[in-house]
Amino acid sequence: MPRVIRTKVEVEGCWSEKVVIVDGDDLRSWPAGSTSIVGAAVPRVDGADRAAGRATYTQDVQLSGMWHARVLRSPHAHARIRKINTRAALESPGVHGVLTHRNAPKIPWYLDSFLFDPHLRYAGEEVAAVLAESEAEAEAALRLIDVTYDVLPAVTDPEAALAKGAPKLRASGNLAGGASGCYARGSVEAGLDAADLRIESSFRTAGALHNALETHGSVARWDGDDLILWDSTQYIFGIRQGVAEKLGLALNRVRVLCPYMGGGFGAKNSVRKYMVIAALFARESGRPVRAVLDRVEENLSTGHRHETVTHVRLGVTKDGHLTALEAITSAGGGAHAGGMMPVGGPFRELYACPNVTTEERAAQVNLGPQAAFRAPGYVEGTFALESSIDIAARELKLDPLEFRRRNISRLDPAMKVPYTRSSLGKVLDAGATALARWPRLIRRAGDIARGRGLAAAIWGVGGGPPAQATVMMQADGTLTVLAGTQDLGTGTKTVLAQVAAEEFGIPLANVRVTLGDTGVTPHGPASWGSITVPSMAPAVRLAAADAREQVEALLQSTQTRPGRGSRKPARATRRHRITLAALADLRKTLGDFTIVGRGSRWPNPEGKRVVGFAAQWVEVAVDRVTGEIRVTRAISVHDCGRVLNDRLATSQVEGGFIQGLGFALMEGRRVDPITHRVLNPSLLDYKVPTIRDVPPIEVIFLNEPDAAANNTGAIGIGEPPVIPTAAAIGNAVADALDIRLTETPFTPRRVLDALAAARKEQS
Amino acid sequence: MSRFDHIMPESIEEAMALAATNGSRILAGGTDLLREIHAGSAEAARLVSLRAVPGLDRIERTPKGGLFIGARVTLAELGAHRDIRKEWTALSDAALGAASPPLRNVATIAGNLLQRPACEYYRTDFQCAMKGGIDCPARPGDNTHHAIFGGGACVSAHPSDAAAALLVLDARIHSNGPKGLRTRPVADPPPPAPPKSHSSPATSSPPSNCRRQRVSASMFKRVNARHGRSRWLESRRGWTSTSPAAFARRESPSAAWRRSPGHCRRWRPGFAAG
Repeated sequence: MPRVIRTKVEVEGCWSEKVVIVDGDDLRSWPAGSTSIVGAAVPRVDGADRAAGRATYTQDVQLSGMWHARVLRSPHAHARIRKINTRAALESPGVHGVLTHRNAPKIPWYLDSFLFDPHLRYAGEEVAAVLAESEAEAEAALRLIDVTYDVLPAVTDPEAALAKGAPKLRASGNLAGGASGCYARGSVEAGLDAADLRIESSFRTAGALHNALETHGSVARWDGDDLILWDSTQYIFGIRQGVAEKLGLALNRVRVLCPYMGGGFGAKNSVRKYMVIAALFARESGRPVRAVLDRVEENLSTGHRHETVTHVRLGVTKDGHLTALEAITSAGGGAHAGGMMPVGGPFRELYACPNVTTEERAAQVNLGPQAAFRAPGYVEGTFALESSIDIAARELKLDPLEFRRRNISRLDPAMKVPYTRSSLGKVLDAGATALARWPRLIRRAGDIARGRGLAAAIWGVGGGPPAQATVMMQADGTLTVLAGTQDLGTGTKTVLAQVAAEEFGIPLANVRVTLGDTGVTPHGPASWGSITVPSMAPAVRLAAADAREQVEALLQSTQTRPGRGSRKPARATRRHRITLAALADLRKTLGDFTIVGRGSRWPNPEGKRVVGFAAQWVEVAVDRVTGEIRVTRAISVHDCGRVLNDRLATSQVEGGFIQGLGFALMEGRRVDPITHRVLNPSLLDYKVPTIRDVPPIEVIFLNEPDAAANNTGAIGIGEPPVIPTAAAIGNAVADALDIRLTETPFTPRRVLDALAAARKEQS
Repeated sequence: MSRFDHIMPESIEEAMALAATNGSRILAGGTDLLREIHAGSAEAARLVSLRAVPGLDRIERTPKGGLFIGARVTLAELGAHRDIRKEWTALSDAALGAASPPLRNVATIAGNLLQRPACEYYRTDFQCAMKGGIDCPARPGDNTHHAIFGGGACVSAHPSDAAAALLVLDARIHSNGPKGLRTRPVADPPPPAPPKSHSSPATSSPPSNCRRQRVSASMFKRVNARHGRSRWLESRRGWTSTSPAAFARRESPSAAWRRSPGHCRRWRPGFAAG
């Protein structure tokens, strides 16, 4: 008898209540060491296809008769279109249509804007779109569109945008959402009074750009009244919902496809204008239409990690117990921000501290809209918190590791509920053990100073419902898994195949996973917030178990029939019942058939929080003359519950660390102070780490199944590795040179400035 | 991206004649020029490739102990050359410090010295003096990594890594053009750009005061010589950075660099980080 249960689900620091319909019982997590396929470091099931170029990404989709859409973007940070003349563009060779605010359907977008809006709030905002037979013809026609702009005053610095007299993006003012997000427990003033040491410091982080390998893009084709949309997305069902809403279609009339994907990092979570532009053009022209953004467009208009300024006050007793934490953050949320990312999260959650205040205020500024970016808010906030903790530990001459141990919380300090398990201590111990194996630190060699730093992190990684899956056993005994998720390149497809093979009890090679297709799979969640594995894997496991139970019942009935009496009847364990030979027998009996198993993610544990703790240690070598920082080695320790696939989990940690290293040392969107246009939107000028920048990274997992979290014991790992890196590097620089870097990226100039300031203070 | 013809002459004379025709650009490695054409900031009706011109890919000792380096020698070849590694270490270090292996395998020393500015304003769609605009948006804008000395209409420092080393090694440029053979130090201001009528303002000659920007320096590099050997150090950590460098412009398809004996033994503190 199905039951309805309400449960809470956490995604990127935000909680929501979900209703789940469940039937029967959930499975218990596999006992540690009892699995053979789950936990094995198998290679990606689609690795060869990806490497050989056989995998069809959205950008590779070529349909016969396909036309191309390109977008004209605002050259001004803030402007209003006075006149627009598209005649020359329409007459240009190969061009079949131009969309502007004058002829496009008035589809609402963002807070109060439209698909095409004459009020342009950032350089890069969509002015018009051209449909042509080739990309080059569309591109050429863009230059023939004659636009007269009334240029308006612009603002891009978050604090300047919130100051009095700043240019306004909207009549209602620049404060996103109209109010700050405030949190308080205890009294920070009382906590600071009780403290032996008070620290005040301010931290800035630069805007960071996602730069996933595959840029944003869609291909749209209409099949009668049905829209088929290939899209490079982290959320096929969200895109289906969003596009259906924008175009007034029923959900069953939109099919979103994303079989392969080249990364998103949070920028591909939601419906975007180019999708709707492609769909509109395709409907008008009767042709398939491709709309793919180039790298510059991508970096102007599809999101970024917002720049932040955080003012921290911290109070601590002589013996290293935190008495007060305060973080007041301003962030630039871009032109259409409705709120901001949870920068105060780490202050509220990472340590036991009775008195905490956080205030988060996002400004609307004349830059592209912000987007989630791998652990949004927590990366910026943890840099401020863990740098401040390090300042305090150094002042008190306490070992930074011991300092953190003393402030571990047994309960979630904000929600006052227990964790499914509290593993920060274990994470720190595992890292300390690995650190002890490092060679002795040589602090000085010529101009090079070396130091080591530590930072910790917390991230809600529990996932939750709704997530559904179907497992079909085909007549030949092979399995097809239908999962309404997508594989961003993280290895989702591989891990889900492992779970199904393990539960059903057949070799991995006999399992095929279909994902990234809303037309054939039941609903799955977005691949964000490190929730894909803890949400989808339990659903797939239940679906495989459902199919297995049906097959077991069949085997039992067929194996006991006359002539087969010599076989031992069904007293054996489950694992022994389903064999390839038995399945072949079954086929002889039944002919062609399909067994359909269904699974649905069960509710989250009541009154408990599922978190993933992490800690990183880095060693840096800093050139005191050039100011260059090199990270020479690193340890990254994580609790992600059961590791389903060590190879893929390790690749997540390495990728996250490298992205964190880029955020710390080199990445930063730069904006011209006069025109407020982005100066480095391409990879020529926006620098990301290359293999030369990457140190050896020792990746350590506690690898203890979190049986309370879900039936696989696995929790998320995608985001925690990027969170502590900047703080760990900053703390290592402080250890090397006794200077504090308070602004990312840590460019050579900032290092030299900090050294000069330190010298000045001494003399 | 516009269409262009690709021509491979087989002698210097032929190449010079072709290069002097309207709408022609000389192509060596193409790492800068093709990117410029692709980005729409340069146009060419004809690319005159130096690939088949004999002799331009050679590195030879001179009788006086110096070194001739052909215009089409790649940065990878410079970096790997035994004599250069040993005696002109700054140059091989600088060559190997540039870009990435795939680029160094095709980028040539002449093209490296003749690069267009590595300035964000130039590379994004700002109208700057180097693209036919009136002024330099970097001067009042974000110019953290630009030249602090000199600088006329354009304050961008020269992007070449190798230029810094060549400067310190007192290299000279031999060039061959419509006006015949010429020799001048790397640091000398180049002659006015030959008049060319290109349709795109991006390829028009820079304003004349740009040529006064002879030597510019930025924070993140220094060149020094130690124990009679030259060295080249860089630190760029992700930001466009530049060397103390000469500003040079293309004059002809043929150029070579020679080092006078004995000069590299001098310590050149003047080119340390500025």
